[in-house]
Amino acid sequence: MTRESLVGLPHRVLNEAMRVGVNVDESDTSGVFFHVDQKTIYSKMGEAFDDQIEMMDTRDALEKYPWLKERMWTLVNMDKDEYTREVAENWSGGYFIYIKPGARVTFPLQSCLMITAENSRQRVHNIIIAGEGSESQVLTTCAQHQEARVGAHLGVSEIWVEDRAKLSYTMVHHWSPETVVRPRTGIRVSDGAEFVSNYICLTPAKDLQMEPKAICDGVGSKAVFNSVLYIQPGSRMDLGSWSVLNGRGSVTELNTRAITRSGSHLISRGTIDGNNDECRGHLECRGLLLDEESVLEAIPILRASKSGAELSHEAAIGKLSEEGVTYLMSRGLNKDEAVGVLIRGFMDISIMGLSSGVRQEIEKIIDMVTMAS
Amino acid sequence: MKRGEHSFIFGPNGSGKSTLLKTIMGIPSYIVESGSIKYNGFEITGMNVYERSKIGITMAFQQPPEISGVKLSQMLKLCLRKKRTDEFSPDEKNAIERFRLKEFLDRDVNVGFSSGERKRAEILQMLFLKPSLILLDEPDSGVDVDSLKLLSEELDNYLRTSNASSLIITHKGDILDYIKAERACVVMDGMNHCFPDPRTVYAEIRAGGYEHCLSCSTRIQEEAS
Repeated sequence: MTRESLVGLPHRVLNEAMRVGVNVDESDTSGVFFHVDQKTIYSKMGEAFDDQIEMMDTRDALEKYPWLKERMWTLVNMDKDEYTREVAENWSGGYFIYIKPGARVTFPLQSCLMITAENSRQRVHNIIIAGEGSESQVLTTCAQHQEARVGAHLGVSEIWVEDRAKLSYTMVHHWSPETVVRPRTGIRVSDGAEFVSNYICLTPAKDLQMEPKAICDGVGSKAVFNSVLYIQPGSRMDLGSWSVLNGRGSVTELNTRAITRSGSHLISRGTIDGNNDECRGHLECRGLLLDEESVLEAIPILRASKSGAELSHEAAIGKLSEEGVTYLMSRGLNKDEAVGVLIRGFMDISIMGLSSGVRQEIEKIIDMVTMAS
Repeated sequence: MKRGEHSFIFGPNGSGKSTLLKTIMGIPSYIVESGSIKYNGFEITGMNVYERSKIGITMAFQQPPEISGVKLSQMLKLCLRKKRTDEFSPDEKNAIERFRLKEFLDRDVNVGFSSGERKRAEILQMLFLKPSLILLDEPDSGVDVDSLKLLSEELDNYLRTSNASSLIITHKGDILDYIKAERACVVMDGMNHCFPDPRTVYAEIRAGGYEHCLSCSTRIQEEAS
């Protein structure tokens, strides 16, 4: 059962959502969705967008649209691993977002998946369908309540970007040091369609592994994966993105900026499969090691099965520029402030091409985390 | 140097002019092996670059580094001790326009800047810091005539109104037309030869090169003794 207004949400949920940067001001969003632990507790569209978008729990969507059953589990293999099998066997819903053909959604859709109960295993199945010719932005925050130390999030997401649609999908992860996280995401990009994923992970997680995979089947289809990662003490993360370029003229860009510190370990993967003579892909990973205790591995894979495929990659890992630190110190910043400014600069999100609203939200979250650490 | 005094530094390539300025600024890779640096009567040899900046010493770098992700507007605000969300005052906006840097405010500091653009950005940052000692490493190299005039006049105006001191390295000597300095220092063979009149010294260097300058210096010293 869902509430009528955000004000009706439990305070501890709402306060935590605000703490991790979720925009709970409904006037800035086109719709808001909250799934807490095993239950969807809020799902509401802004009136102005009622005829353009549908947003509901995936279980409700299955009742409303029987055809959805045929689509589910076609972009993510149910038998991929133990986590997908667990979600298939015992899931608690998730968000279903249907952006109708031709819709122009100027404000982002805000969804929040939160774990609040200790030792909770959240298993969700999310669906997004960006209808033909639509343009929209989805901003998803996955968070663990600071009072619930131990937990697991298993999230299957399947996303269809239909002909000539544009979907900007921004996901912010905000876990705790004892959370195990296993998202499993598949995307299909059709003719002339564009999918942009922006992934931001700035807080610790015990163990996080994911590699969303975009299948660019469409002629002139495009998939962009941008990731900004600040790997916190004690975290082990294996994060990647994967584009499969099947369509003629399909294009992909994979950009990662990663910082590791205080004994954290990051494996940053990027894979591009070039299966068409007229496809193009570029992969870039820039990594920054803040100390000698952390490990950062960049694993780029370019795999071409057609001689005309143009695939390239650049990867660079290094430390913070001492020259830059000195330069900023000569401008009156102490060493910690100078390092902070450079780290914040390294996590510049202007490359992501976000709308100003989403960009401000993300800037706010990055500021909160970098100032706190 | 006395407060409000200005000196030009000349010298052949590799003679240690930039090293001198960087050592005064406290750049970490420049170590003082002997001697000491005093500023306003205080020993500052052990101070780091931040501490020296806080007591009023600042430097416009000849080749400033590129700072990716940090916008020029943020850098200027850091120099002004403003928060990123603060607005520039009308006077500050005016200065940014005079320095022809308005269209660079949203660009990463020094990334893709031309030589002249870097110089303008460096000197504006420096002036926003309101220093009491300005260290300038070849402000007149790589800038067009108009930019040189602008930068020189802005510097001259600041130096005259603030009573700040300056040490300015120059090869071209163009800046001599704008800033009235009391002294010239010729750095050669690890020595600092100081003369009273920068214009005369520069004319001597142009006419006879640095070797001539050295012999002249020796002669003057011999005559003096």
